[in-house]
Amino acid sequence: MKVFGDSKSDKELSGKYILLDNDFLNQLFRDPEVLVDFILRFDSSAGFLIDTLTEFEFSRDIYNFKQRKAREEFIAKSIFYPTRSVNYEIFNHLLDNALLLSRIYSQQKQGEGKSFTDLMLAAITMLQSNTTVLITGNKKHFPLCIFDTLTVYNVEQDGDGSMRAYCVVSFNQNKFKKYLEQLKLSEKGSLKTVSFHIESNKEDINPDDIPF
Amino acid sequence: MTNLPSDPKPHIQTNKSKKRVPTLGELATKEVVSEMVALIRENQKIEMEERAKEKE
Repeated sequence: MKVFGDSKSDKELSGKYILLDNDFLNQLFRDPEVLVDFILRFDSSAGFLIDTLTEFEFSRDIYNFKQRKAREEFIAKSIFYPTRSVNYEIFNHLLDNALLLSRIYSQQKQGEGKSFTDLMLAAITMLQSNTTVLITGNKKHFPLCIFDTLTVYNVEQDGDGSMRAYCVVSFNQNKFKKYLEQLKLSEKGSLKTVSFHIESNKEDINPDDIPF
Repeated sequence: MTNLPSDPKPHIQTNKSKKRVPTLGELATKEVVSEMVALIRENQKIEMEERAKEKE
């Protein structure tokens, strides 16, 4: 076993889609034992989500054709779903969310070091907060002012045997509303036209409208 | 415009039928996992070959 974490927390992810940050996807691709450990832990989840931007990061800089092909075939497997960000309308909603989150982060002094991909993954987690959580090895890219940490997994690394932590985070709508109000106050009403998008709660997930 | 959680969803729902979503455990059949493990092993092998070439 190479993955260490509270097994009770695994059940909290039951029925949820798990959106993958690129560092976690690379971790799965590095070590078969880690892949199998996580599949067993997340077996009651609804599957992994990979966004186009993460797919790009996962595929970039690989000049060896065989390696590129192995990566492409890996993420084409049925345990991975693509997100819906390729849809033009949804992409625009995600941009609205990402821009607003970036402003909230900055106002809360937690804005440094967030890439466009980080903001878009945060925006997806926000849009689909009723169905989706995110797993990342860079917790600081998904700050405390908006995201709750549900659980942490430590993964023993080959070679030096060091441990790397991966956090599962969820979007907290109450925190978001609180800091959005602060943002509106600081801008003295000029943010009246602010646009953001969070999908309504559902009792259960319909694969014909949510999954990707 | 501010879309609160009660707002309509931005996409069209094509089918209201309630299908059960397969779990990751169901999606990850032995065959799928074996294929994924094989791809990881293949990648590891290529990386080792690349490193060996660099040393030469």
